[in-house]
Amino acid sequence: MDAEAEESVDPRLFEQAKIFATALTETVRAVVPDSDAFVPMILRESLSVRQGPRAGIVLTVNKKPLFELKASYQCCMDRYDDYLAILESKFEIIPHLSAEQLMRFEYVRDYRNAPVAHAHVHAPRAAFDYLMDNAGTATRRARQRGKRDDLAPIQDLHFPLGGHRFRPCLEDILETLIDEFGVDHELGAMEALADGREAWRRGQTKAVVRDDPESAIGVLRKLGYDVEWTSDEPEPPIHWDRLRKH
Amino acid sequence: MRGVVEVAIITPIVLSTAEAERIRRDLVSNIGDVDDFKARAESYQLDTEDRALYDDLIEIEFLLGR
Repeated sequence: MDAEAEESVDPRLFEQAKIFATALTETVRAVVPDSDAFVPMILRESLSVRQGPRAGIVLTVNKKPLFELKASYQCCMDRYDDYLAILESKFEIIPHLSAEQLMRFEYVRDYRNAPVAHAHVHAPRAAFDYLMDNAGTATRRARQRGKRDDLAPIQDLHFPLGGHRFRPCLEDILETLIDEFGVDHELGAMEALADGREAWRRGQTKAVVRDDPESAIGVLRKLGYDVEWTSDEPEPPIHWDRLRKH
Repeated sequence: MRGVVEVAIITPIVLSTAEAERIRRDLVSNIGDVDDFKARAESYQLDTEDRALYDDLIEIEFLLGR
């Protein structure tokens, strides 16, 4: 790291990057102990985090490779400068020895034309082909597909996954692959994944409270807490955009 | 630390703009026509190796704010 780069890094971002990459590596190694670490890279206020092997983490069934899982994140500090904010995340599931992706779970915070959290399914499906070829044209995305000369592939569809705050985490994807496909995993992996999921959801809960403090206050009062605004600053607003976004 | 595997704290790599630009130049020299390459990526036409290259490009362009 050169002196100019070192001086320009926000120490909070540097610290959060360490914690995030270390936690992700723990999560993945709970399933695949010899997988490479996640690598955080920072340039000024931006952070990217990806795991080491460019081809992805190899997931096996009965010791034979079945999938590669690739996970990547683009981040910055949140609007309060307290926590990491995820700008984009992508989990890709690729069958081993194939160039074709099978599924992608993506989050794009500033997406305008599709759900911010969505899944792509890559598969030939005659029924979907028919539906997409005969889709209406009242929306921008449907019109874009209608302009194609060929059939739009199913992976062009964005299946919503819970918006900004309620999307699946990496632990959900790994547990699904273990549950559904019998991917090999270490003893205690499921507990580690549950730990990681708990940490993720508690973090998201904090973010949701910031999005909608009014609802949080109402619930806390119903639970018996005494909650009052005591700061001289104006009360934080409800972030309607976050609550309403597809 | 949580989980069954304890991991040594991972130290971030901190890039300068000049370093990031150099990495992007190296990637572009392997890619050739970047617009065509991105168009092929968006229409799922890249093989495994090229998709890894695409991931590297997207990552460095994000860090550079492009």
